[in-house]
Amino acid sequence: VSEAAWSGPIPVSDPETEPFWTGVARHEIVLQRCLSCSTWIHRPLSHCPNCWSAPLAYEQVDGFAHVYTFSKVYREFVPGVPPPYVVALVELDAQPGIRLLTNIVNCDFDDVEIGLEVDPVFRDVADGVSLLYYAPRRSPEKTL
Amino acid sequence: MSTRRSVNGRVLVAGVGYGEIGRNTGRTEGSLTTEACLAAVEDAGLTMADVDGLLSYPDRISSPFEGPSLLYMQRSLGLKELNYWQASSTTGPGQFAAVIDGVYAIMAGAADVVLCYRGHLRQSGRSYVAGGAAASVALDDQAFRAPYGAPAGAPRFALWAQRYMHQFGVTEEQLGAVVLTCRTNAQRNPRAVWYGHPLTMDDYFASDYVASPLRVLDCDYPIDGAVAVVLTRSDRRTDLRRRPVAIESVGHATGGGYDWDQWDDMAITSSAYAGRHLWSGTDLEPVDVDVAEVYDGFSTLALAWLEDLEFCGRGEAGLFVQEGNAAAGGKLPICTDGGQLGGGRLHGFGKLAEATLQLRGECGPRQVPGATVAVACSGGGTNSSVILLTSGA
Repeated sequence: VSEAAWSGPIPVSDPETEPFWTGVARHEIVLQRCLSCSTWIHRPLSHCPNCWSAPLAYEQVDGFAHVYTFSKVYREFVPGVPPPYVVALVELDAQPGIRLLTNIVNCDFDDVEIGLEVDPVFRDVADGVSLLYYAPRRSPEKTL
Repeated sequence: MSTRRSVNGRVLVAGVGYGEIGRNTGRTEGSLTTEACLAAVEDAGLTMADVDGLLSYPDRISSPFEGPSLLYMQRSLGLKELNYWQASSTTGPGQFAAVIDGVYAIMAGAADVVLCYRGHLRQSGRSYVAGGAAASVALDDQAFRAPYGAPAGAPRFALWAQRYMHQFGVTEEQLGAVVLTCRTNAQRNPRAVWYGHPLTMDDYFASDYVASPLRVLDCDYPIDGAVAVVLTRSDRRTDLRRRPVAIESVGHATGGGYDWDQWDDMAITSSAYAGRHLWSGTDLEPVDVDVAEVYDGFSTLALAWLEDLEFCGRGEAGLFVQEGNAAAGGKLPICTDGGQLGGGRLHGFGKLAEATLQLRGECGPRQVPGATVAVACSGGGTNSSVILLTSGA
């Protein structure tokens, strides 16, 4: 898919979030998980909020999800992120309760609804930096 | 909550004051806020020498929201000696964080007369992203939000609104009913930014979406403005010019998750916890309330507050408003000054001022007859707080 160069903000990682963002750069989804109580954690933290264990592990997940809630945005809220776009919280099918804030792409806006099944789509925005988007399941495009 | 020490009238709202309110006053936020503070102290019948506590929501340096710094205000008001002073951050129990801080400072004996304020400009150039329009990076939590165009504000509350409406079958026309209720009330308040500009449901549906399901008219109108409130101990009652209004209870508890994008159940907001907390501190009940200055930064937040304060059942607020129960003359009038949807964004402090004026019986054409108990609410989403007031009659 041909896209204009990304001029929006570039996510900057820290020691806790770095495995997530380098995972996305490899077009993988890597989430934090507690080694002691197996709780999935997102966004990353230093200690498990369920049993307070540390350090925490990182595990790759398939990322299949459904739309928990969404909004079609028609005004600019962030320079370089031009409207219109669909922002959504998607809940991972295999990690219930873990939600990712994302955009729903490769879709007709009118098709987006709560419960819609979506798959991860990756967009490379800078050298070594990608964003994790989602698209309706069965979308032929796995990158943007 | 068995160990909770309730307020139960030990703290009074001694006075309230407004600074100039308008779309573009051409003034600084410090100027507007100084005007509001002077008016509030005058309204209380006190002098600046009586003030020994100064509390701000928020401080300029803690937040992208504008507002005069605490130090500017201390200097501007000539407050040489303060026993208690603090600027609340925006991460806390909503805009009333500063007021609740003042209530507890007085109950603890840390200060006798506390001045709390909120002042801001229209904030048209405000950016949620550090560095504003020139930003090229997103740090910390914003790394997960800003690149997706949802740093805060309307997209954030739209996600909440969509889930709420989906779960309970709330309609856009019911959101419109909130907007029209507020706009109608604004026609009885010359201070309201939409005074002289009534609205119809057709106008509402002609309003563009900002972030669905929220239209332009579902979002409070940004203005220049300031409101200040003076709090004092109940035994200072006889020193005051006006019949004071008593604070019966405050609610500021929260729950629900780490943060807004990881909130457990987005069909409810933190106002559910604040509401429960409020009622745990009083023998009064929802049925006792005569006027409800619910927070309406977004129309859906007003509906949440009506449910969370138990004025109606979960998911029923849309119908409650649509049937006219929240209108002037209805079962429970809301946003009597026009709210923020009709009056302009005063970040909750306008709620507290209007509730106080209602209980003093000073609201003229918009007065709720015989009002003796009121609630004033601030916030929604992850940050909420609420104050229950009585006329002390």
